Amino acid sequence: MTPLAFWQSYWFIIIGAALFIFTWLDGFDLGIGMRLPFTKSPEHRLTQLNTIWPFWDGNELYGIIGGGAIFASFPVVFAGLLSGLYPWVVLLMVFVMLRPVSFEAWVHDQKGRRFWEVLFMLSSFFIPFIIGVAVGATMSGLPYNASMEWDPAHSFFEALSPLSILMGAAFVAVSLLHGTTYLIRKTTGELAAEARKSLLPQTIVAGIFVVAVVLVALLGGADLQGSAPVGKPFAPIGVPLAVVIAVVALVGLVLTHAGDKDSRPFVFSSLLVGAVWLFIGAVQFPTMVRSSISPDFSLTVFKAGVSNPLYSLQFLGVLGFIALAVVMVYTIFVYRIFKGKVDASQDHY
Amino acid sequence: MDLALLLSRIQYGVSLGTHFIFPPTTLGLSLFILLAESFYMRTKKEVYRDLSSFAVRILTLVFALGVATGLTLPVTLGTNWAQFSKISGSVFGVQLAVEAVVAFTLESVFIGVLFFGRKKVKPMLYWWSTLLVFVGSHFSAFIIIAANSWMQTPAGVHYADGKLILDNWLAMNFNPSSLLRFFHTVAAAWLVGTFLLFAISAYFMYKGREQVAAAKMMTIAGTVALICSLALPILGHASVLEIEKYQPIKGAAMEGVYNSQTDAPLYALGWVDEKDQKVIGLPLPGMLSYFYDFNFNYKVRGLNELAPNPADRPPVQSEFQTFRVMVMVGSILIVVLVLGMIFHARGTLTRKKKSLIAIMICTPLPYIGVETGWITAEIGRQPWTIYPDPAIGFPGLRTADAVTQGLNPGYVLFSLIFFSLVYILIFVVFFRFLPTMVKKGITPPAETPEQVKGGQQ
Repeated sequence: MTPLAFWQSYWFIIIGAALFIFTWLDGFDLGIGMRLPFTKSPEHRLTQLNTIWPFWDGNELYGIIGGGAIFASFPVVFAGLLSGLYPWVVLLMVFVMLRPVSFEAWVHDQKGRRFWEVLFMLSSFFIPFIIGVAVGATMSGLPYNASMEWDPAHSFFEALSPLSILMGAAFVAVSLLHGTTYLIRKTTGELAAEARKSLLPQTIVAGIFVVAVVLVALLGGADLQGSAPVGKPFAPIGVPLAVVIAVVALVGLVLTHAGDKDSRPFVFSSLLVGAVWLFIGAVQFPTMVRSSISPDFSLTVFKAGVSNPLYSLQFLGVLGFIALAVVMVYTIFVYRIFKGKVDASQDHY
Repeated sequence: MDLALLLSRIQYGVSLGTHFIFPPTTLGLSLFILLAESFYMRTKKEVYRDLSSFAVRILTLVFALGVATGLTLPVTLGTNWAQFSKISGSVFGVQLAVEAVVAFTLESVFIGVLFFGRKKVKPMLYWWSTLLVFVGSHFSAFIIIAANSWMQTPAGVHYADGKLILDNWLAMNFNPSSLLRFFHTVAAAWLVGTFLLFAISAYFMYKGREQVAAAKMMTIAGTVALICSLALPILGHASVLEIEKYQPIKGAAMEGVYNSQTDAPLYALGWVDEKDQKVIGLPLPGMLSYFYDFNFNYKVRGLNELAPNPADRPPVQSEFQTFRVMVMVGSILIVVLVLGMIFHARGTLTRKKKSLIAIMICTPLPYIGVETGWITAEIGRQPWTIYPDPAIGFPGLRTADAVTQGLNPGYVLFSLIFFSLVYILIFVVFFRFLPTMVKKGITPPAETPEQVKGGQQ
């Protein structure tokens, strides 16, 4: 393996890891957001927001880090994907902006809270959905031509495939489930009981979508062969491993949904998030974007001209690794400051 | 001009112009919070703690809106400026990733501690958090300003296969214009953030509320704002010299100089007659030559010599006027701050209702200053997105070539409309809830559970 190939593979894993952490941490913020308007008591809604309030800015950051990592390592993928998926990206950005805005407005606008809650819910729903569709579309294939650009003859609707739509639905269902387990972990009393009641149905729905994604991907929706000489080196190990982890997570959720251990369901929903990303990574590597026009046009990490040159990859590879380690340390430190159950108090005022 | 290009430029300008309201405020507020918290640690006087908490509450709103408006910017580089992203990916991608991982994480994680941690962490740790937010936000500013400066004065790269390849990250960051622009921008940002608090203290004095806290806030914020307002002309002058050296075309456009001349006049006010290539206005004879070299015989190079082809020039009128608006705003702020602080030091300001009103009216001025300064810098960069660098054989990247190839103008219009609607919502939220928050006072009573319930029926 050449040093360049090493750093190209390294960056694939870093991007995957950042996106996993994003869906793992911000995933529960999104789930909490989706639940918000359906919680009846205003006091409980405040408690619910209090559970994510100090963290969600920091959580969302891993999504930015993931996107930034794509730009930093594979600018052609970054530019090609964003310009190709233009209208979807615009919708995603609208909801990404609306989420903090509705949150801030909710804090200050006592009378209009109902409106901001619904806006917060809608953004929390569409963010994982559009990201899921985009990720699914890179697996099922997008119309990339020989010059590594979205072929102008193809419409942006080609991002919609059975796999991409199911992936969007799976991202929503898993985020919702993850928000519910987080709520069980962070709250007590009626609110936690409400969350517990919804855990089993949500597990079943998430399970159905995850299973559907796996089946559609394996039955021809995604490319499991790749092309010589690299092929898909991780698929034979990664895919079965991901399926096993997903099964363990789903069974665990079913077994613990009515128990009295408040942290267990969260552990299992975290495993489920991890399994989804492991599956995506194992099916994809080394492909970043599969071309629906010809397998030769797929953007893989090793393809000439796709990645940045060695210096950029190496420099940021080392600096970013150290920085991320430091970030992890202080993030854990801050989580520990705010650990434990949350109620409707307003300490911050 | 190509429609997709025109719309993309409008969209990026609107997005960045909206965004640029919030980060400078954040920088100024983070400095104030660090100062107030340090005074609190020193003196243990509660008033400083209350001031710090008050600024933290404003900061959370400003920061959230800054993040919301900032997220679209790198994404738009991919959607609308794909050619730019591909050509400069090894620089811009790395730079934005470093910003996210090193600076922005620090800022956003510890802002959480500032907002929620007052009762949960020890005072010393809280002070450290204010320091980390300050460091994080300023480091973030440096990285972004360095990247922008690199577009104006490229360094640390070589040019191969039609791409700019990063060779040396430090050289790229410390390119010829980055440090000066950083100091200039940060001084302006501190002025923005602290003048906001200065004007808020004037509001409390006018209303006769929060007398002790408002006076202290005015002392701290006003002192910082005054120092920055006085430093800005010096930093600005240094920037002008730097522009004259590295981007003389921009400099000539800012002054409306078409023909090279010694003893060149400086126009305090004026209108550029682009057709007849002259400025109609109020000239100060020889002053431009003097400012550039402290020498009236200095030959100022004009656009006709520097850029014989009009296609290589930025829009002259726009440069000339935005530059003057920025300078004028800065001058007014110096007068307001000097007088305000003299009255405040004498203790007579609280009685001077008209002066207090004048200060409050000036609240938007620092924002107008940073926006026009930014427009001068970026319009002056035109027609280039990345300036040519003959030393490495780089012919420059024209804005017309930086845009995504084959971009559908319909998409851009669609995004422009949707983004603008969100920005309008953001302005509504900001202008409606910032005053609400201020009116609650510096030391607001805790919200009771009844209020929470009452508000949600």
